[in-house]
Amino acid sequence: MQSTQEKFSTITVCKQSDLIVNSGINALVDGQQVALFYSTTAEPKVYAIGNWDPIGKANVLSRGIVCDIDGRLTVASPLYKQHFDLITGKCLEDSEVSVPVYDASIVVQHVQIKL
Amino acid sequence: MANTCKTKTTCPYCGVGCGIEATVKDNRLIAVTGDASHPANLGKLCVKGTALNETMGEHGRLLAPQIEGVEVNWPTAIKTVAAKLNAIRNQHGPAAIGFYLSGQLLTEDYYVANKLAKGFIGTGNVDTNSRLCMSSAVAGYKRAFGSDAVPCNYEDIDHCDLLIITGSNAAWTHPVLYQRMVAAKNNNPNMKVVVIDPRRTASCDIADLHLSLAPGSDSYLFNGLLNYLSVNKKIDRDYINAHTEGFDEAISATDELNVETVARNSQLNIDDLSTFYKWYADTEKTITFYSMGINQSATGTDKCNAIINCHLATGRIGKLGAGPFSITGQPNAMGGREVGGLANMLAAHMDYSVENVDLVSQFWQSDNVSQQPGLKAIDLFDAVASGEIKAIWIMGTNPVVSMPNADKVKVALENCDTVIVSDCIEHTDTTATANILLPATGWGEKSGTVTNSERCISRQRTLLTAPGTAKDDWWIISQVAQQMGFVEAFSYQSVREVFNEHAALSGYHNNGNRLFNISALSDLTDDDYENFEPQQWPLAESRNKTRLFADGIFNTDSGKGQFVSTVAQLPKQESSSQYPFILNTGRMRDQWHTMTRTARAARLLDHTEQPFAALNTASAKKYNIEQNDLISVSSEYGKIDVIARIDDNMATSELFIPIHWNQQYASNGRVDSLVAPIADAISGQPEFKATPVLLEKITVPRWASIVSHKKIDCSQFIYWSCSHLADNQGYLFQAAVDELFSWQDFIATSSNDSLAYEHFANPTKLDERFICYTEKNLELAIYSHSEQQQLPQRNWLQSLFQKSLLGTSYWSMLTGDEYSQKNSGRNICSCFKVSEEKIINAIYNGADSLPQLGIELKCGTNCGSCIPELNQLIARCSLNGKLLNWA
Repeated sequence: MQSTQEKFSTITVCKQSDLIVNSGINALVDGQQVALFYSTTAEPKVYAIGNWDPIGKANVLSRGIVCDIDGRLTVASPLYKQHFDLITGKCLEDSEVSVPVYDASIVVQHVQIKL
Repeated sequence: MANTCKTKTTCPYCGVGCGIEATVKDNRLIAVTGDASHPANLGKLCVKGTALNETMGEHGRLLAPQIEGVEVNWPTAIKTVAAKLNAIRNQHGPAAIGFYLSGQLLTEDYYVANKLAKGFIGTGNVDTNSRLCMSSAVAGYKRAFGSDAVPCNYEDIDHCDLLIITGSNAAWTHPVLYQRMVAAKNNNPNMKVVVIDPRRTASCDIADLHLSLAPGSDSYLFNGLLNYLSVNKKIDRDYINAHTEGFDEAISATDELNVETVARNSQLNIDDLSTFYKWYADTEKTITFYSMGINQSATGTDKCNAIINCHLATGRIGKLGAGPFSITGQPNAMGGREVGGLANMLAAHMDYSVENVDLVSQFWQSDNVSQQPGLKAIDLFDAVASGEIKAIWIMGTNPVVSMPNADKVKVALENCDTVIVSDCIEHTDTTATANILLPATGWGEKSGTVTNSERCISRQRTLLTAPGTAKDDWWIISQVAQQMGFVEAFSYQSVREVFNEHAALSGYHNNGNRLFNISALSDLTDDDYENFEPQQWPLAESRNKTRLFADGIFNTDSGKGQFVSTVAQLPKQESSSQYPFILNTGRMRDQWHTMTRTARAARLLDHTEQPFAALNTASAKKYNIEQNDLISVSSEYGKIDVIARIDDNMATSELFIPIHWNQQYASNGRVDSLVAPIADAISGQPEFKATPVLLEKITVPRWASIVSHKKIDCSQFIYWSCSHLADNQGYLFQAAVDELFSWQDFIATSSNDSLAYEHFANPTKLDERFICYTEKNLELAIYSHSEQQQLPQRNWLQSLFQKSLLGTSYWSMLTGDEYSQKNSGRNICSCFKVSEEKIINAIYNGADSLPQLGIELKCGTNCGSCIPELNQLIARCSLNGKLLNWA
């Protein structure tokens, strides 16, 4: 169906078992690369941000190291090591730069995101 | 042997008018099924119809007449009403008396009410809630065809190649007809469906193209279509020349509207718009199916004519599989139209000409017949507010909930000294304002006829004895009329006599002037009437053609169809920095109107139990609103409190709130109190679907779910909503309260008997739970928490009173085995009570198609109303991501 409306739609990306604790994986969803990070520190929770590193100009963020900076859960780009907040998408080192964030959740052992 | 019998009757809900076969045992309605022999539904029935038996029963019914809250007998009530009306008529004239009728009334009730008001009291101030739903469609048809005649039949849907659904979410509002569309599309792979709606509704499930236009921009779309058809030489010149008038004026009014201009004004992209226009231009068998989204507008009549213009220009009218098809919302809106129960009509499809007033005066043998049109709904209640109208008689409708600027209507009725309300339910927002209450029979008790959206007249039959002293509306009105002194004219002995008179009037001095002529039915015997089979008008006897307007002859003076030049306009009010959202209103899948009947069936609230506002993720993020937050929505006219529902089928900065909630079932959820009293200048129909509003988040310290046998005192809550439990066991309340709210005090004051209770508390999360009981019976259960999602879910709460537990087991409801099962999810399939969680589980476990889900869980296999949602869940749960392996 064609629709003229700009929409969010909920999409099942992968199974919960595909996720790697405290690390990222990369999924191609509707033509876009999405980096999924998985934390089980409090309760199992998945975070989704764009995989494109706007500073390093490459699809690499899913390969970054997940780290806590002053209580903010972030990923460090494997290229130039800037940190991106997994909840807001904001770059900690450069407030002008951010990556897209997507609502992500685990439903019946599957990962759903809103794109 | 128990006394079981089956009776055929007609459903009391939407304008599809489905035939029902009802099974009654010992004066109880035990089951309803679709009547396979009824032409409207051929055996199908939606979830609301299927649940009819769950809405019956004496609880909550108005059982005896009341004057100022005191029960009286019928003779006293009738004398009082008659005396008051006569006194006001004598002192202030007939126009000081108003009537507000309803599409829930049967045709015979409508006829008698209209006859008393216009014919004998002599007031034209008779309007009806149909003003709110289809008066623009009526006005549009009258301007184009000279008569309020729907030119299509349901079977046209089976035969069309292009179905345009505009301003209608048929999947939810006319489910059985929608299933017919689904079947038509399955049978005809070439058939295309275009849905035109700001929201991506459930009806988009079968859409080949969805045009999410700017709210209220429909006339740009259809005027632009007329322009496109003309420019691209896709008009039927021969038809236009032979059968119509006014084409040149109409086309010149659309000169400016090229595709680019239309796209800009309706906020559509040019490719989609062009696709729609091209499909329309190229498809002979085209139906435009329209409803409230078109009608409920300050320019609704023009929108109807913009649609009809395109059909006249292509000659697509009066032909199999083609036509402009307005669909009504109520079971008997059409019957009301036939009777003439609108303020601008006199009677029987006659408007107020001198000749018609004479003719009706002769037929009714009355010198009092009103001479001119009366006040339409908004003006009628304004006249109550100003004191111009001293007495108003409201029958079977709930204007305190359903009128625009509803708070003003409420105050007007509260301040009026003579508000007479005939209803079958004791406590509604409108009966609360009444001085005199008259108990009317309801569906299944009363007897008469209704007319559906394809002009098919069929019977509603008595299935059960009425509770208390409830009486039929025609009887009540006739008794009052006789008491007022109009003895002979209202000496009906049966409802059949009323029908015969109504049929006779339709043919009285008709001479082919009026299409509505059922005079062939004017001498039915009791047996004929009892065995009356569904019949469409024009009746076979008087029909000289297969369908209306098939010969290109219309009911106008010249016999030609009229093009009406219209200027495309956007809604009267625009969003602003103060009111940045545009509010749309409408129905939900499982509820009806102001829910006086449907709220009585517990399962009809399983799908959605609280008043809500739908908005998309982008809008929600902007206002920092999350799913299920409590929000207030306000306009220039009022303010309400509802639950936020994030729904990405909405466009940004648009809001949808259902029309159903009222003060009986929620603290502050009457959405029409927000709606401006702006109406179409011709039809008087209000603009319900484009109100600028503001939303604000309300911080809720604690949420609560409360299950109680009795109604509870909610006055200290920040917010509450209430629903019935199954089998009349009690109520389930959802509430928001202050941090310091004392549940112990609440329990102490909520019952005369001192309740014993078990208590669990975790103060850090304001988590408190109470199980209150007397002797061995659970009376009240309270679950309260700072986080809403920690509360037990509806399915589990509903089951509390069904559990037979020993005293010691109450603890298991607080923290134990029982409590650990508290989350089972909301129901998607109301017919088989199948929860969303169960469905998602099944899909992820391999049942990822409709047939497989049907086999596994039965969901979607009865009425089919949930199929669009099942398809959405299947789409959402099928794996759509590809993991990119980089190791």
